[in-house]
Amino acid sequence: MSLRDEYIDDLVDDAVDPYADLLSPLAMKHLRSAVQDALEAHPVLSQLVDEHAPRGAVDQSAEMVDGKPVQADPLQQKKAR
Amino acid sequence: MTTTAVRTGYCPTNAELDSLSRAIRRLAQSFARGQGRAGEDDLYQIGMEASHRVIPSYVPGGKATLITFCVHRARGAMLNACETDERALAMARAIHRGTHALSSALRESTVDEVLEEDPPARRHRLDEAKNAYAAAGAMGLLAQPETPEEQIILAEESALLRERVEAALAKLDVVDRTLVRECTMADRSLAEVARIIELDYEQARYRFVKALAELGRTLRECLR
Repeated sequence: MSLRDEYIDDLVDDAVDPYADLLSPLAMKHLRSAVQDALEAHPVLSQLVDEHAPRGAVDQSAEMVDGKPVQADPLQQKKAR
Repeated sequence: MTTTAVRTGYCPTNAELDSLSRAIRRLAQSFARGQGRAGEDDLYQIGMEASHRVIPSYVPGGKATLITFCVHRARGAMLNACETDERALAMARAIHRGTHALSSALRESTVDEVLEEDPPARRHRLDEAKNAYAAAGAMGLLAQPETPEEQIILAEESALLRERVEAALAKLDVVDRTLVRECTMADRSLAEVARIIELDYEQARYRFVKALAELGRTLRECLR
């Protein structure tokens, strides 16, 4: 999974969150998938996603907080090298 | 001294299992042909799992053969699976109807035009669009369903949603409310609704997207 995929997941989760208590899990699954498809299919929005999404793959060895990897500070990484 | 009854289930022979497998395969083929969308292999798997769950309770020597006994259960499990499939399709179709209306309205901007905006405005545009899409999809679930089957499925689904969305819609300006209702629930094109309410198309498009995003925000605040 790439960081871009994670970013889109977060965007979509945030968008569908208000409906979680109002819809069945099945409807939520379809709503989620429709929002994700719409964002990725739209030429302008997918461009905006690319612009805001962090690049690269998720570092599986990274420290995890709340189930999300903590991104290493590039400056610290440079110093370490 | 107490005794414990040890219940041993029925153990089918290999020949019986082969016959059962063939019977379930035929049943899965028939269901797959009838349903059109359900995969034969998935249905076969569902049927075999259901059969294996009931085999231990089979009592030989009764009226039913093992095959008849199991196929009855397998059929029920396959029917349930197909009903779930129908439900999923009905929801996907309804949600798509809602988001489609928004996609048409958002298609107008070009990438170049958007990228000329300042970064906060671009970020805001993305946030607004994701909220608007979620609201449009939810509105699709409240639209008049196309078939009687969808009517039943979506009526069950949307009772609570309708109540909350109606409350959120009531907070919108009357023009915005009309745009949202007509484009996502009545399946009218934005151009058509703009003409009816005598609004310039560009203005209508702008207000429609903003109104859907606002609807999403109101729903989010209701839950806080």
